[in-house]
Amino acid sequence: MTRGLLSRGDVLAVTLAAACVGGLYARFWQPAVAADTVEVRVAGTSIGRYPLQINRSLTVEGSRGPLLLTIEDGRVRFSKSPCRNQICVHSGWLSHSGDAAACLPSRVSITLSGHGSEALDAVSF
Amino acid sequence: MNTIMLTADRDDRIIAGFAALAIVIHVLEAGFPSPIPGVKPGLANVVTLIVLLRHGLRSALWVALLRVIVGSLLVGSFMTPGFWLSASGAAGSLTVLAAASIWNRALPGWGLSAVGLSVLSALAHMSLQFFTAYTVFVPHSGLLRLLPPLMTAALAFGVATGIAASAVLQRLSEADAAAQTPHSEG
Amino acid sequence: MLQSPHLRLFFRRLILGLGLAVFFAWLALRPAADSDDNRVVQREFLAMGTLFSVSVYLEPQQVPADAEAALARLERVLQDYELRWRAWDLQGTEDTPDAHADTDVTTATAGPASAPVNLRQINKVLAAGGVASVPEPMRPLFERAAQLSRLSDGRFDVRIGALVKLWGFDDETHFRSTPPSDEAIHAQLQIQAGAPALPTAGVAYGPAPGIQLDFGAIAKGDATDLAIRQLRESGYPNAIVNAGGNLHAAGRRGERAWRIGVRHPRPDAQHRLLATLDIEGDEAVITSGDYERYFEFQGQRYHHILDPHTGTPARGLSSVTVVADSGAAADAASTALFVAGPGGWQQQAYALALDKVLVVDTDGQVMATPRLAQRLKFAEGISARTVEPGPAP
Repeated sequence: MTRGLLSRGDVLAVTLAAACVGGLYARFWQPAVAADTVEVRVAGTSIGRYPLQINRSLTVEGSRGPLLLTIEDGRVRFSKSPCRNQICVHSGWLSHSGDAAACLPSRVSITLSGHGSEALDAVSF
Repeated sequence: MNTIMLTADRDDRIIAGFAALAIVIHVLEAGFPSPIPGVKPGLANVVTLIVLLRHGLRSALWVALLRVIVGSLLVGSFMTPGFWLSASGAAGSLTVLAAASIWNRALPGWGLSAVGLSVLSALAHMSLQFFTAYTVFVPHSGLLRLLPPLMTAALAFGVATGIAASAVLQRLSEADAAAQTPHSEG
Repeated sequence: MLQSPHLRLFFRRLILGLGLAVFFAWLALRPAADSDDNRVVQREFLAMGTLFSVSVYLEPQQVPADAEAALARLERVLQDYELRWRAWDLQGTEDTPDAHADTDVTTATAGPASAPVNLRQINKVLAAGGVASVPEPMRPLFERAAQLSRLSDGRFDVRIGALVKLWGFDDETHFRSTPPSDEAIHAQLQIQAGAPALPTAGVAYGPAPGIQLDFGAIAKGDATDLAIRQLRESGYPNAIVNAGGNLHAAGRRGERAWRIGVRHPRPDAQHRLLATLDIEGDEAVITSGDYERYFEFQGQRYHHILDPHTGTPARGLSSVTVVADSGAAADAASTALFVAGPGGWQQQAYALALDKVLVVDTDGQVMATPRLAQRLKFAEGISARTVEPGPAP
């Protein structure tokens, strides 16, 4: 073993480890205004809260048929909607606490929430 | 090895001694508050690390096993979530240490010493504990926000215990040198 | 006993360890930075063709159950408000709480058989070529709309109901996918040009054949004013109302101000918000954008903000955010500024006495008035040009 506190291998290991930890912050500590949960409501009644860190697709049964919600990399969007005007799909990806979108004809709404002192209470659009 | 008679040989005494030390640290550590109950920085791993570097992987495995079982019996967490967290942490850190000893044998030029080993094992310890806590016990997304600071803490503890371990190893090897003179044995 | 150096060492370490343990305990148990979270009571409901989200921050002596009751009352008030101000009957509305709408309002405020009690009835009278009397509770907003229409040179105009219908932006469920013909638009513009202006102190409007009134560009803002007012009267001075992205906040959220974001009109992975803003006191934040209600035809985007003078979607800007004390004024003003476009919004802001405006043009350039720019926290990578509102150069 090399003399001294740190060998070449140690330096490599510690650097890689620090890089991994840095990567974790980037992955899980998005700007503090980022939301961490989305609440899905149908006609005002909550049907579930979903973490934004876990990628998944959700099919929600609205009053005009199924809607597709996609959760991906800390954000969420309406991907498919049975309605004509597609306003909810136009809302695009949402990722900030306080943000919301709704498919009115289907009476399905999503609201994002987060915590922390930087969390937003609402988003104007 | 002691196959028939239950006489303790030198290895057994070493394992027992180190395990006792690890258990004490384990018990003290149980008093540490943690943002996720049961997820600990793994200070007891420093003992596993020293045993690994001085006496090899087999002894290190024994020390870790004894530490997790006896330690949690003493703390009263045997077979509770806390026990499984400790066990998974120890398993994670041992796996990394085993991999590292293979690495050290294969690439002596890039060998890891106490600090590197300690950092890697601390991170493995923490990630496996966290993985267990998240997947088995509380799959709540809020927990994921705790992962980066916990891993930062693990990194810091890893460096600190690594430095401590290398200091201890230094002392031990000085003691070994002194032990060449007959009267200091035992 | 303490003579032993090992024991002394042990105790020294023990004390150090305990100290560390206490430190960690403090770190873990210190009061959470955002313990205000559980003092906020929120209610969401669908009203006025959009998603309402209302939150109140509880005073120390207030309890969540009372606040929930107050928010439920507010929901009913806003449902009534919607029934009063909706411009037309909805088609295919088996899923809206509208079946008994007319009976509700009519029985509550019925006057002589001919007197309309809501906007739908006013529009029916206008369609029949009659003179519609404006019911008492609707007069203030009529007056407000008339005044704002005058100050905006008709860029904000509630008389565009028939035009909105022509474009199909009137009903969430029946959007068009092609623009109407130029002839149809032109004919409607002619009718509007010949129709009387909204009377500023009017108790009646008409006759104005071919004219339908649509308060869609002011009613949501006005509803947020109403909501804040009602919550204050119910004892909740700290509240935020979100009417489908039209915001109005009052008071504070405990230790900090209510904090809002403004959505980026052309978001990408890094930029979903333009900026964030802490609300000072009682303020409405209302954005008009081309990015939600639109359809595309032959590669062209047709959005819902119609220029009353051309009869087509206003071009040049993609988003206008107005911060003002009154939600109704901010709502109408954001439309007027949007219609005024890249060359005219500064002058329009001046005419409407607005000093807090944020504008994004279709080239992506962000502009803000100094009063607002100094308060906005722009998202990373976004910078705004500061532009004074002022008369045309």
